[in-house]
Amino acid sequence: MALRNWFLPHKDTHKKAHLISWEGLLIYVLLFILLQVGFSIISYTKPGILGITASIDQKKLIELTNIERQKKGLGTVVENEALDKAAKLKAVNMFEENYWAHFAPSGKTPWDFILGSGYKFTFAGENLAKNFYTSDEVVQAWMNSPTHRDNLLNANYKDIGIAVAEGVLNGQKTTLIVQEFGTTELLARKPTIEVQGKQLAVPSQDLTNKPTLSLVSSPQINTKTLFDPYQVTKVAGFGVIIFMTLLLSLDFWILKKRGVFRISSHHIAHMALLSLTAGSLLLASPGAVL
Amino acid sequence: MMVLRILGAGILVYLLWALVHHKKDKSLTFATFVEYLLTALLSIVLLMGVVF
Repeated sequence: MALRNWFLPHKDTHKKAHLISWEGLLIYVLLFILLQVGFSIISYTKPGILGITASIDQKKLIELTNIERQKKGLGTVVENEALDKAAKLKAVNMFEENYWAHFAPSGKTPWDFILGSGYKFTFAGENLAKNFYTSDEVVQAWMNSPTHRDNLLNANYKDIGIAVAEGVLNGQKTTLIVQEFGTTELLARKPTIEVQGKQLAVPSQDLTNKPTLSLVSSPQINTKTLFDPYQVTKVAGFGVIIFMTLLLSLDFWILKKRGVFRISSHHIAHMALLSLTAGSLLLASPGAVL
Repeated sequence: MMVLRILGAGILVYLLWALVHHKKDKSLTFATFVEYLLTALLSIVLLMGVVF
């Protein structure tokens, strides 16, 4: 099997180069699956080696939240020390119990942290985010999600608390953002908390029986993040797309020069999908909100 | 998740177009369709690696 046949169409049979035929495509797919499996193995065996290094500022998140509220004619929310503590407690708990949810596997509820921090709310709400690189991305993602946007733009809230915490979650270095909203003003209903668009009534026994929680200084992460798996996938993906586009163009040009028409080749269709994939990769972010 | 939806729709159009076009052309072979399927699969695998 000549090396040139991997890159150029066959000189006699005009068969497509191997690297743009189904054999080549299968190799790329398997390589990328292998890459993801490799990341999972590294995350499991060497926690904290992979991950995202974010540059997210707590004060900037509050400022951006208030900008969004002001755009809708709502009052600004004021940073509250107890809610900051509640957010930090929640973030530390997510790292300790290794979960990404509003309710902990051990049964801890969002109001456990808020009440435990000493904030006696009548109405509260919680937004979560992870794997974002900047503060703007976080607030934009919350604004793009209808349930998180409703929470962020809820007129009942007067106070806000935010925690930006770094730790290892599912084997990867992660920056978690916990946003707690609340009001202690009397509303004509039972205390409720809003998470993911659902208003949950706080059981009355929880309002009186919650012990005060204290923040234990979270351990510093000593692991040095070697690389960001999402950026590696992105760069490798762009590499393959550019390489395939080059080979497809070369194939098209050589066949045209030879005056050959190959019935199975539809370079434009393949290139269109590859371009769409490149665009999607460019816009895609590992960030998630909950 | 919007990018996933857009790419998903693009892949659907791509595969349907391939099926209809090659069927009309009487050039639909297993190998040809596998090539389209693998290109679509590669697109999905690439995006999944970044989003999840």
